[in-house]
Amino acid sequence: MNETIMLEHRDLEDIVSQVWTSLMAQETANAAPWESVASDVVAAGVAISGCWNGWVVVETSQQGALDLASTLFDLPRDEIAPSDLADALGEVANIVGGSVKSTLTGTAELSLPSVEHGPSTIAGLSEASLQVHAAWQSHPLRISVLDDNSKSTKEQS
Amino acid sequence: MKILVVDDSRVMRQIVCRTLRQAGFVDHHIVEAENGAHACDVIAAERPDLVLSDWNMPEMTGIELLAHLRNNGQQVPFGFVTSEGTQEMRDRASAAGAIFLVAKPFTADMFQDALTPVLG
Repeated sequence: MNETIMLEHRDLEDIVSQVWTSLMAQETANAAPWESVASDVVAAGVAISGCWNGWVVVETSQQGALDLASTLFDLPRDEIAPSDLADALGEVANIVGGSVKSTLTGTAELSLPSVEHGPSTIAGLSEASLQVHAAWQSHPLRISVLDDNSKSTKEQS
Repeated sequence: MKILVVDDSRVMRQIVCRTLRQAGFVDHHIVEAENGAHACDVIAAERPDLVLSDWNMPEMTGIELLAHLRNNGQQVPFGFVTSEGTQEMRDRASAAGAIFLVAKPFTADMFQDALTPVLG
């Protein structure tokens, strides 16, 4: 059974803000929830397993991921290879996931990041109970914390 | 001094190198490795004065790398730069012989505080 994660919406907003400020020296802004998942979305996720089991997923548009990689590599957009884009967004998910994991009181492991182009195949992501919608350089961002227990409960019902 | 940066993410190796410069560590020679197993080879060839390593990596993790080094009598100063910043991980790192753990996301000030005792 999962430990109850002591993370509130405001805490996740603070984590996202801190990651963007530290990594890119840029602020994120609050944004309205996505009405639908765009087809050009890129999703990077890390799994946490142990006292709490679930996923932390960072999603943005293809252009957003490209600008993020361009900023982190300090390279022009046309010099960013697809592997660079996956590396950069995966590392952001890794850092956000590590910050979420640090709020747990028990023992847990953090997976290596995985990156998907197109809507994420992680089941139940759209209904994640803890979700921050933000904007960075006018690009959409969605950061989700998805509890595996809530997912399986939904699948059973 | 020679510093080995170990991280499976190329962008994070670049960010670590950039942050070292921002923290004032500008006159050091940087070498890189993309996981613990690769780092073993680089350490044997390059004899770095300090290892800055990620924790979670394919092939060989950072904590496995540190254990491998100490089990083989290599006492090169070793610090973690990782998203794993919990007290449990800090305790594990310290028990294995790491001299510091800088949690991501980090700042140049955090690098200065952690690395100045080693690099001066």
